[in-house]
Amino acid sequence: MDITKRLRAAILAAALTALILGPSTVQSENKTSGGIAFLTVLLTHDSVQLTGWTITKGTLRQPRTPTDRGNLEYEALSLSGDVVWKGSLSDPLVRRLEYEDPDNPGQLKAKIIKADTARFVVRIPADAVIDRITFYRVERRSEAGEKSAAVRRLLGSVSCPWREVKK
Amino acid sequence: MSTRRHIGAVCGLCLAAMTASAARAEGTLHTLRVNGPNSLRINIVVLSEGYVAAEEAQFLADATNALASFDVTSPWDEYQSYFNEYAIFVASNESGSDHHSGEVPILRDTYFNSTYDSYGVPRALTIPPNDWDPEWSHGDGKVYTLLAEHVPDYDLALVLVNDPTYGGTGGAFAVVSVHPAVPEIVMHEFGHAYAGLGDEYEYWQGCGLDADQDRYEGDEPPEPNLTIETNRALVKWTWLILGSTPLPTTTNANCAICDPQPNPMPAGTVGLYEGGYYYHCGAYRPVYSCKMRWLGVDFCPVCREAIVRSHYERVSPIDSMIPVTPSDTIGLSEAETLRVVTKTPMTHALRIAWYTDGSPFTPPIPATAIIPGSALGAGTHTVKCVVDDTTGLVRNDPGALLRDSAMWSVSVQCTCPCHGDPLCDGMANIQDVVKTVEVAFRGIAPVADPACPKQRTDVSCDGVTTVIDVVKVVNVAFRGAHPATEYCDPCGP
Repeated sequence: MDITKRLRAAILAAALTALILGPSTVQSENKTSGGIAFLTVLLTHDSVQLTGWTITKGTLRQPRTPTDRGNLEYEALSLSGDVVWKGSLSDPLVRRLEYEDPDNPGQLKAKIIKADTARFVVRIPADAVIDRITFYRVERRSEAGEKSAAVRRLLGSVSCPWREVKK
Repeated sequence: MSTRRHIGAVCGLCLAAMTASAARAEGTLHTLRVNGPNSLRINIVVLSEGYVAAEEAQFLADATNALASFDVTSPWDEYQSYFNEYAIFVASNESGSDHHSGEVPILRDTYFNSTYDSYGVPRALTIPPNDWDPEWSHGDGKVYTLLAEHVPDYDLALVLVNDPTYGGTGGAFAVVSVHPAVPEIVMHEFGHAYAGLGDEYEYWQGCGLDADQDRYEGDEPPEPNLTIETNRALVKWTWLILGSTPLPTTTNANCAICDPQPNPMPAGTVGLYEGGYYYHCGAYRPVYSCKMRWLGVDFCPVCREAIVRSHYERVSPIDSMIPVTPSDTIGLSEAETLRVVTKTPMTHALRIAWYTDGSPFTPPIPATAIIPGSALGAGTHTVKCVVDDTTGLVRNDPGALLRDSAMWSVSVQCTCPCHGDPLCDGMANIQDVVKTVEVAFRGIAPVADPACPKQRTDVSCDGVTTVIDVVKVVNVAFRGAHPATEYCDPCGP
């Protein structure tokens, strides 16, 4: 058996094992009308890629008012383009380390760490009507270096994974 | 379904299964404090790092201590009952955390592979991905797996590291050590993550250490506690500024350095203090010192207001309405009992106001309204209960976040099958005339219908049975008059 065949066999065995022993929280197709989906997304400067997902029991609480605090926004859209869910988070490519100055108790310091890629997780309702999740980067004029209003730039969309499974 | 698509679909499921299976059997969920269903509360989760199996009790004590500071810090203290607190224990093989900066690095085999000395900062305590271990699944990924497994509807998460050395960092979730001073930085970080507050200090690395933080030239910051606006009417916390407070309250005379001047105003005075958002000039903070600038001081009024509003971005002041169904039908003689269950801040009650068809009324028990059908009258009515948090911590609530309402539609049915037919045998005849005469002239008690607002013999609907009613019953019984023309509408006004 060559390496490729061995690899295929190992992947198939792992897949079957995972299917058989998989966690109770992961729901199969046609059972996505409720629950909370944890989507793991790989972000670069100009792209998004879904790298994992899990559906758990429970209900994600709808915020009473939309909060647009982060500069990375996402929208879960239905097939007809209706926004089913939306949220935002701070840009995962920019990490701000904050710590207290050991020489000046009480005084905070900060250090920015920038990365070319980062993984992050968004939670959305595991709603059967969701077709895709679209991500935007919000650029304020201070960051864009020009005097204009904040602009939302499309980073990309990922297909709703449980819809893919259902197909 | 094509074969390729089928394989893709199956692999999609495999991926999901494998993603979640990493920590399926791991982690024990402990409840530290529950004040209501997770859907109605703000849920905080503390995860253990660097505790061996025998240290589970110690972790629970440490987690409780870490959260206890919220109970004594305004404005969190007033809203303790709005929160649920959970702890997820997962054992590490060794206690503590990695320290790389000593002569001999200390490396511990811990569940999330936490480490101090991240990115060259001794106190920066992080979990992967970081500069020591770039693998997301060793740190953050495990946190999300455990949260998905145990408290998927969490609002705030905190990784508590069993190491006495001061350290911590913020982010999607905070990572902090058990050092006694750490709760201060937790509250600061939650100010970012929870309420969207910005940093009010005017440097990155420290005064005199940064080369390019002289003046903020950007747009108005989105954070509620920072501004570039100096027009009193347009400052986003203008309602907290006294008319006697000068604006700007302080100005940095030399933007090349941090403003060295002491606070010229009484402590806690809200105004515009230049310096903040990591810049010496150009951005203003609301007070001289706030917890978003310095640890060990209180949150300022602007930050307190933002935090309280953040509570209500997530949860309503009303927990439930009873009955849950928004419409109900009662008879005129019945009463509708409506109730709201509200949240309960620690030292003040929420204001509850009731309205029927827009008119206010005050029930003896504020949260419960018992409304007689007769008081409403026949027909469909709207009953509304408005609940307000009138806390002094919030002076301005443009989005009406601190208010919510419950509304019911109450139909009151009027049924008078025996009106004008006091013996209720289906027709007016001599016996009904006799009965009406007895009520009108001989002091016999009138006959009432439970679901009818009028007595059976009061066919003129004037509240009493008199000779007029006798005549009307006679007209219907013997003279061929139709009840519809002779009698009043017993369900009418």
